[in-house]
Amino acid sequence: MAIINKSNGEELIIMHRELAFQKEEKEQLANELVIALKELAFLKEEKGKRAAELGIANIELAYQDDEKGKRAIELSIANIELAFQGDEKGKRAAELSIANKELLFQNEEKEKRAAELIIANKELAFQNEEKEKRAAELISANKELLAFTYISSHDLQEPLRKIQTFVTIILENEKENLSEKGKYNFQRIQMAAGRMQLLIDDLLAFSRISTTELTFEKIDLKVIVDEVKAELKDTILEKHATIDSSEIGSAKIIAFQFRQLLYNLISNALKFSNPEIPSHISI
Amino acid sequence: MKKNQLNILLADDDKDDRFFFSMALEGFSIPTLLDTVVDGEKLMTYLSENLLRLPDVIFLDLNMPRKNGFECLLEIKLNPKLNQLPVIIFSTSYEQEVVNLLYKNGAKYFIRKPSEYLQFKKIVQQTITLISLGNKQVPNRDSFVLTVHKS
Repeated sequence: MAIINKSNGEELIIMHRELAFQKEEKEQLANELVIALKELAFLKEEKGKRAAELGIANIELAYQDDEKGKRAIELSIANIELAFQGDEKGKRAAELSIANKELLFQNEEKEKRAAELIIANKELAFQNEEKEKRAAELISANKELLAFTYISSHDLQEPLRKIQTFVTIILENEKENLSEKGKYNFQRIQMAAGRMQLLIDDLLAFSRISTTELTFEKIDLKVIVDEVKAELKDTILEKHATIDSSEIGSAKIIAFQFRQLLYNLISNALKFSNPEIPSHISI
Repeated sequence: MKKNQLNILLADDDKDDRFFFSMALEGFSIPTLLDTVVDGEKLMTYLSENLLRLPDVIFLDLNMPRKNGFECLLEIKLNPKLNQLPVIIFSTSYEQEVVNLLYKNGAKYFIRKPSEYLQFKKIVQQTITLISLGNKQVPNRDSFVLTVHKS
């Protein structure tokens, strides 16, 4: 633009400056563009990375979804099972409740029976006590009876002996004054009295056996044999009997019972011996 | 009391037994004088009052009122003034334990009163004869119980 003189020059300078500035600006912009481009490339890259990551995450998610589905199925099965078990439980509970009621009833019955049993037991105990009392009374009554038997038979001996003595005095001293019939009658009295004496002796022996305390003592049997021999002295002399008891020791015995036994044995042996032959008894 | 006669003391509460005893002495070859007491207490009194002229022999019944024969025997045997007296037990019943006890307590003889009069008489006379022979020693157990000798 030539028309522009001075001012034109100035305008040119300015224009140049403007142009330089614009160029600078342009370069700057270009630089910025480069940077922006670089930035973009970076961003793009980043985006790619993120997309890849997302892909992986998605796969993971899909897998998790799948698993979830499986779990849901399992859960549903478990739920069905549980529901079934719940049902069974309910049934059992109902049965249990019935059983419990039954048990309660049985318990009550049991308690009733126990109460009845206690009463019955008390009754029994009472009856037992009564029985024992009766037994004790019976024992003491028996003892009394035996004591009575002993005392009465013991006391009967004396009047009986006197009857016998008086009868023999009459038979001895009044022989001439008695008729045959009278003598016969007195002999009958004598025989009856003799029989009575035997009965009393037996009663005495019996009550002695029953009333005497049964205690075993270690006793020299020779002592017992000697006592029996002394008691049977007359019969032994009469039968010319010898009693050999040299080889007996001592024994645990009830003395009076053993004496009675030996007395019975020896007196029977003497009674039933042959009168022609002197008896010999070995013990 | 004559010197040559035997003085007998009978202690028996039974009137009939005393009668039998005195009868048994009738016509006996040995002269005797019989005194009687009717229970144990009277026996002990008699003895204590006659310490200077004691009997030659005592016939003692067991069952007597007030003091029985056992007690009398013990008292006599425990009394130094009386324990030399021969005491003959004269009893209705025979029980071994009783006889053993009497022997232990120092009785001279034991006689069971026979029920036949002749036997009664014989045993009384036999026993008095034994005493009159002056047998002072304690009899052994075998001859403690006297019975009638068959003759």
